[in-house]
Amino acid sequence: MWDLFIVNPMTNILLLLYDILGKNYVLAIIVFTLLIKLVTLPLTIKQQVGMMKMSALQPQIKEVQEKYKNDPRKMQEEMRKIGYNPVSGCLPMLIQMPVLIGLFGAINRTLTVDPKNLIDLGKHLYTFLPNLSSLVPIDSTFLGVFDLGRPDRYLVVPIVVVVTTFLSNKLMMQPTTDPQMAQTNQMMQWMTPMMFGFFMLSTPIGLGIYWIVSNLLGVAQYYLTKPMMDKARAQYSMVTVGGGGKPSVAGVAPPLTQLTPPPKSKIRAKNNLNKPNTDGKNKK
Amino acid sequence: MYKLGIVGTVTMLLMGCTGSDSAPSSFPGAFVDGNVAYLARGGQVYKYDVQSGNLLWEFPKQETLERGPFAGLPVKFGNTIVVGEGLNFASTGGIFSKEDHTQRSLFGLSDENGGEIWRFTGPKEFVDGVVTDGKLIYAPNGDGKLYALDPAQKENGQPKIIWTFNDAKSKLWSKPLLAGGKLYQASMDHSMYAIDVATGKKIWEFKAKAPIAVQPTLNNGVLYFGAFDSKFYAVDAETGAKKWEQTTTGWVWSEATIANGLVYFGDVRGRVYALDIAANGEVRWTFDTKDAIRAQPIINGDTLYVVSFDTNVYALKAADGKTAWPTPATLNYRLPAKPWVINDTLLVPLFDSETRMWSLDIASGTRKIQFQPVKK
Repeated sequence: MWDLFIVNPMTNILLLLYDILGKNYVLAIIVFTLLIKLVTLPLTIKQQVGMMKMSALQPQIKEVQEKYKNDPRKMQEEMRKIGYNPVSGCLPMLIQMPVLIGLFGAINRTLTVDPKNLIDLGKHLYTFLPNLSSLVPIDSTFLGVFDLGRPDRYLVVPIVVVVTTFLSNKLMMQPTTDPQMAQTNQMMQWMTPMMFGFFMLSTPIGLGIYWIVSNLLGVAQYYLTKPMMDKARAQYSMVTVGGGGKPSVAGVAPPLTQLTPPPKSKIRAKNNLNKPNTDGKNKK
Repeated sequence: MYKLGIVGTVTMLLMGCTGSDSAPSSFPGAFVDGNVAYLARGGQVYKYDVQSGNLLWEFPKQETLERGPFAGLPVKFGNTIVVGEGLNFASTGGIFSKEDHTQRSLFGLSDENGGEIWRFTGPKEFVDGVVTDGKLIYAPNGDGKLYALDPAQKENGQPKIIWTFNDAKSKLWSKPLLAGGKLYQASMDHSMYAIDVATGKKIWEFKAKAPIAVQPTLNNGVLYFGAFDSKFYAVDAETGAKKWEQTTTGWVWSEATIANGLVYFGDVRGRVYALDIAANGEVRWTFDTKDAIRAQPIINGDTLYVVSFDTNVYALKAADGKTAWPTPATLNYRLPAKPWVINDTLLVPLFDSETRMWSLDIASGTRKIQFQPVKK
């Protein structure tokens, strides 16, 4: 089922792009990643909005946790009332996981350089696209030095993966007033790039290129959707702080200055978050 | 903390889905000579006594990631056994690898004790073994060249290259067929080449629409072979002119066997075909297994034996494709290599199991002897 609905279509589309784009596999990966990003854009936006919402609710969550720490049932009830949903941020991410893993499988399968894996590829090509069979074995050389089907012995790709993942994470990370969450975020900001960098040491370069392109497109997407996000942020700040939600209790959340200093653009957003916004607009 | 959990899980899943198959990267091959069998598989080459299953020698003595996988059919050349190393993806070792792992060697081993007599290091892999006329060894390589080697003469400590055929534009992943002063060599560049064995020059070239990765079968002046374009071809061996073609459901990566006017082969979607040569390749019967067929089917009397990646050995009536055994013999591991018939025994090499081969009773398919990588 996994192969039938996820990996096989991706494998065939990737090869089709390789054929259309002048048998340039790197170009095929870039266009394919762009397509995937477009298809999953609604989910990504939903995930970012969800994370933003949870971040904005932190003072109230903290307050409820403190207040009802001896009554878990009541705590749950109150949490529900303020709109707390622990999976709202990660559910879209969980839905994207099959796409991500399927894509990795497809890239791995099409970049195959050995007979055993080639026979597996042969079983999964669509018969109504007969031209795809003529494309194998894929030309896996890149810039005359790299073999896309093998790990990068020069360490260039793992390093670029670490740097782009770090930058992308830093940009996407939601500001928070919860010290525990801030600590987790800070750890994530370092751990995720290192984990993926480590993963790239033994992974074909083609997968690394997908990851780099995906990170860069994520950054581009961040700036493109920023106006929409700012609007949503302003909305949540109004609802949770000044627009009808329960007011946060002073002293529950530590001052923002105690947390990791975020980018300047985010400081502006944070300041707005803690200010009552009576006209519904994000004042800058 | 759930975010950390998700990142960790994704990473583990990705790592899992990119390198979980522990089987060798290239297919094994066995060759039977009288009462002994030579098997090239994974990190070692083995010589077995067929009757007892005793291991007579192995090369090298210890299996390492740096050596192998030994692949394709071992070939007897005088008192040496010639065997090549296939593509070694497992030992790339990522950044920790210092040597060029695309370089693979061809070995001449002592038939008596398995000791190394000579070595020829090719630019790339030797996936399907070599052929010989008793004087020279014809070795196709993953670099797209076919090398004619003379082990009796040495050049830089390696067998001397007498000539090189370098017209092919892609990998050579199948051994050539040597017949009538010609070598017929398939290439992943979509062509079948006829080459003058004396000079290494091209005589003709037949173009398919996708890679060809099988040794052709010759019968009455006609070459029979399939390709990745899901076609099976009959081509005149003298001129390279196509006589007929037949469409299959999947890539053809199995060599053909000819008997009683029918040509038998399988495809990667698991279908076995019997085509009528006299009727320009008309399909006489087909039989479906559950996974890819890569090995050449073999015929013994009225029965055709087929091994499949679905881990089964099938005995089919050659005339109509009906099953000859009550049930197929299940060996629980993928079966990519050609089986052998020795008297009342069928010898089947395995791909990714601890057991290297099984011998089966040819009449019923029941298991007889297990061939292990250790001396009994």
